[in-house]
Amino acid sequence: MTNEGVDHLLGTATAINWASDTINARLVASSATVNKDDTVMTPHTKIGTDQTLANKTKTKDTTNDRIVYTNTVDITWTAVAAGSTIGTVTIFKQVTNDADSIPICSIDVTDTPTNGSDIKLTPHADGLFYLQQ
Amino acid sequence: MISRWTFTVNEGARHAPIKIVSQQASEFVRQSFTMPFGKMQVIEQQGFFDGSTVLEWRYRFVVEAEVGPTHDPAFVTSIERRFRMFVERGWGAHARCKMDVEVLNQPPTIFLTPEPVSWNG
Repeated sequence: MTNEGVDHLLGTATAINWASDTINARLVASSATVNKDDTVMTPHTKIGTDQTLANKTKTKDTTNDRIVYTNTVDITWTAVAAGSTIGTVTIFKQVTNDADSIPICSIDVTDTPTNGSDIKLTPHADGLFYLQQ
Repeated sequence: MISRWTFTVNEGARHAPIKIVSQQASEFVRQSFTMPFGKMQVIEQQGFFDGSTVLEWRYRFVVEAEVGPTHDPAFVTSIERRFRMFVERGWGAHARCKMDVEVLNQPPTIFLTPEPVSWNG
């Protein structure tokens, strides 16, 4: 998770409202250099079209002492052009452009070459990401 | 991925020999689909003189090739631009043309099933 994203989720900086803000998912090229200190989306080289999460939930898991953030349905990118390799998926708050949009977390996936097919990400049962005590 | 490409030329009411029109269009398409863009197969080639109503020469050329809009969008844009230039140069600005690309067999969906990431406070 990015420090900037957590800062906003916790409301220390301008709070991210998970329910009402525009939260997107981006397929990011394996060649991109991304890290937890990123404050904007510029380094997160885009593959295909960013997808807006339309079924977001935030739940309090008292058993595991977590706040779990997820999307309750699969996230689908349609007919992603061939010739790229996906290395990570970034969840971010969309503002106006890459230079002011806020990366929340970068989810590692198996390096996946695109071939023109649809790409579907199934959120894990434990969420896309969580904050843990 | 296999895509079907349909090139249509409607050159209006000019009485150009259809044989020449066909040869020119055919040559254009054949030259456009060269390696390394995969196999190309001509599945229809049709030129006809519609003398019944509007007296127009029409020409249609259909190929199936292992390249398409989801495989190489830049190639599609390039072919369309060259096709329009080719038609305009060959038959004049009055000629109309159209290119359609239809994906015939989309590869199967790729599933990503990552583990969640976390922040420990």
